[in-house]
Amino acid sequence: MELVNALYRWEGGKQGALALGVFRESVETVIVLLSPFAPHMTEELWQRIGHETPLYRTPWPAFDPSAVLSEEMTVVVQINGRMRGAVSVPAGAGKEAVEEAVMSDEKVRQWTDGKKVLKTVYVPGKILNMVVR
Amino acid sequence: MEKYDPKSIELRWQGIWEGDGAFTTRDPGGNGKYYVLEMFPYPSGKIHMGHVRNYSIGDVVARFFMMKGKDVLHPMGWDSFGLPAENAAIQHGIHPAEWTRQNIVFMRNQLKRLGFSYDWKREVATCAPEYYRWNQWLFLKFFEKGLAYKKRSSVNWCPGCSTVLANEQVEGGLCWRCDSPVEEKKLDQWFLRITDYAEELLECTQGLTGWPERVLTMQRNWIGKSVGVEVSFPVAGSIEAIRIFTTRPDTIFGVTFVSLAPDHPLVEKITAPQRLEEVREFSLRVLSMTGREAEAEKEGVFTGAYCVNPLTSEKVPVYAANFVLMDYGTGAVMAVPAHDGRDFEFARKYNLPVKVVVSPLDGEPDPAAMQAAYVDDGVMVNSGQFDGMSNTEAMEGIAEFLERRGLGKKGVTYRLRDWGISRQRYWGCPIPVVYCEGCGTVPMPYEDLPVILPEDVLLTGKGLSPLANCPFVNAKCPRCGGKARRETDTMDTFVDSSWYFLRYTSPESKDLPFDKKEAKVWMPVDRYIGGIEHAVMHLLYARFFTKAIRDIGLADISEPFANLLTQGMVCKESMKCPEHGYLFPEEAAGGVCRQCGKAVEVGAVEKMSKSRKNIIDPDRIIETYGADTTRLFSLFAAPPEKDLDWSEEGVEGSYRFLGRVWRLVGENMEALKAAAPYDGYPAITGDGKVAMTGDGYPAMTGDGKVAMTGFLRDIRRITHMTIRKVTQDI
Repeated sequence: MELVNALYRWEGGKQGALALGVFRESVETVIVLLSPFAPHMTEELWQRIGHETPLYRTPWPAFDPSAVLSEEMTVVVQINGRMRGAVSVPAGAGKEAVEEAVMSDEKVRQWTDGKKVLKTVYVPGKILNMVVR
Repeated sequence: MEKYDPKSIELRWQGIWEGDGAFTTRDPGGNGKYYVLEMFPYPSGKIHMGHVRNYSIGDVVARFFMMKGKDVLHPMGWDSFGLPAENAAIQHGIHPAEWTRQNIVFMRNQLKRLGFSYDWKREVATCAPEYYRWNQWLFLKFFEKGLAYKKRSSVNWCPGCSTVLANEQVEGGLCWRCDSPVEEKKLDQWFLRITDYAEELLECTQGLTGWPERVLTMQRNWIGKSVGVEVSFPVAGSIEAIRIFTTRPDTIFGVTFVSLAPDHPLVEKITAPQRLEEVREFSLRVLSMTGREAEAEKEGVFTGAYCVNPLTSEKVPVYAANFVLMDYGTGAVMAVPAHDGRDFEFARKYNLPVKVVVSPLDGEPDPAAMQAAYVDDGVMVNSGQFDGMSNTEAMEGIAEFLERRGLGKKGVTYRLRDWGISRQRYWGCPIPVVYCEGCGTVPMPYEDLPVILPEDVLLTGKGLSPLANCPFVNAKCPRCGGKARRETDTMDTFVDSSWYFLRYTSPESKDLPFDKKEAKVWMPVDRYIGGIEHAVMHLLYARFFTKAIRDIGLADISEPFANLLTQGMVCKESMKCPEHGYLFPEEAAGGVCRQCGKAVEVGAVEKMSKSRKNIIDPDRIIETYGADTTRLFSLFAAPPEKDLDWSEEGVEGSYRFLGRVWRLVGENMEALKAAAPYDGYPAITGDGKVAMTGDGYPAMTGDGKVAMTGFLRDIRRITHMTIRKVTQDI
């Protein structure tokens, strides 16, 4: 229902291969997901948009987790207890990925270069606290 | 694109599916099998909304797993023996076979019109000799193994109609047809020894993790295992003893009387001569009533005899009582009024002593002042050497004490009774046995099966088994060739449905009830769907049959149904005219009775039923909105296991939703067709690596970091969240 509504809100921009690709994927998803519930109408639509293989022989769509991880998250970086910056990482990124992003952030690097990292504490999605000397 | 026209689309695709053999079962390949089954219907005439809902749920499951690449077995058939066909014959003069055949044809077409993905090549009907001969075959196997036996037992007898009634034909103790009070009558009947499997049936409920807990609890309660002690109470001045099973050995010190079932054999033997007349009169009165267990008023009569409490050596009176049942436990119960609610009531009514043996921690109650029995745990008092112990310790202590002295034995009993399968009915499967004057009870040889149910029989609704008045009854003894009388009762139709799921795996099997190899491939049923009303009988019988069939070496599974879904009922408010009673919805349009124009009372929302007339004919909904809308509404209006309240607005909502999807595609047909042709579905694999650049949209970079602009990304997110949700929900 939500998906159908969202597709109705689609304004104009159906030019461009990528946009059309996404649009078509979404419309096809509506049709496929609806097919066990309303098999006749969906078969009809499936055929009309150009498929030769009937819907009942079409594989169920695979769920793509990366499509759901839409938002990025901001993690605050503390060095020895003081806030020294923030990094943007994909939502749900793990501690290692956050550390990697932090260590490649120039603003943060000026506080850590030439120093030894003794300890890092990561509060998921919020703060990465590093103790350096 | 033209307007959404469900009917033409649906008929067209149903034709294509049928022509393509779209739903013909394939032998399972590498992706594995999925067996989805909906409880098959009784062909009562027309399908109702409950069927639509049940089968729509099953069809979603079947189609989903088909698209997931499983090889799916999704069959349908007919539970086609049973009483309504016989009643139709009596009321309308149509032969049950013909009535059933017509109904099957009609209902099959209704199911096809809904577009369910059944493999119709596997259709079975239990009234067909090709099916029921295997009921008879299994019966003979059970007989050989001692699992089928004959015993005298009671049936419901209507003196008005002079016929045997099924339990469901007894309404509040009265005949459903003539309102005569129903009596009990003793007849020789066949039983299946389901109790041999009581422990396994109970034990295996642990492993049924795909079943609703509620159903498992109902089955466990029905099996009703209790652990306790069997104790003997010697009858004073006699060599007889009364055997009693109790789960509360800790209260034996508090026994103040003992009750026997009115038909307990000891009643006649030990009753004092001067009380015999009164006791007999009581017993006769009690035994002629039905539904005794449920009766509220507890009654009894003193036999004049006493028995001895084995722990205290005190003499206690023996009663005959209406709440003790001969076929439950030992047919005798010890009474501890201080610690059992029912015994307490009885003791107060007949002025019998109350003796406290388990005391609450805050002090021993005064028996004379007690208002109710004390049924909780406590400390032992008035119990000799066990005084001061907790009663739970004393349970074990007393059980062992009795065992050591040879006065009792620890044991287990079950509430579950053997399954009486004899029905004094015509439209059922003949029991393949003859009674020979010389040889006695003789099973039919396997090669003489099936024993065909004859068609030329006069159905009057009177008397005992209709087949008894028919030439069918005359048989030749297969053992000595002499004159024999054929068994004229037919099998409970629950026998038919106890193994049909196995028959579907090889419906054409000619040598055995089903092909062992096919059963091994397809069983167990991966998802079984039906109403909660079958929680105990059908589902327990099917489990029993599966185990018994395993033990005759036909299958190597112990449980038939891996997952069970009990769908809720379809409900609607009823309409009642003060003058014309309940009205069908179309008779009460606009809130007034069509006949008299009086305002109708709108009743409670209840299960759709013919008696309340709160029913919706699926045919009308399909004709108006189409099969897809009908299915969609029955699936989306409530979660499958919950009750569904019917609403025409809800149906319209489903119809509008489908219309929106139709237009979404129609209005964007060009854009959709212009989209890059995909290399099979799904085209976009989601990791962005196949994505393209240009046209002002940022490229997907492959690591998913800056994939798309907001709107596209949102659409994809919603799309895939929908995929996840729908996939998980199914």
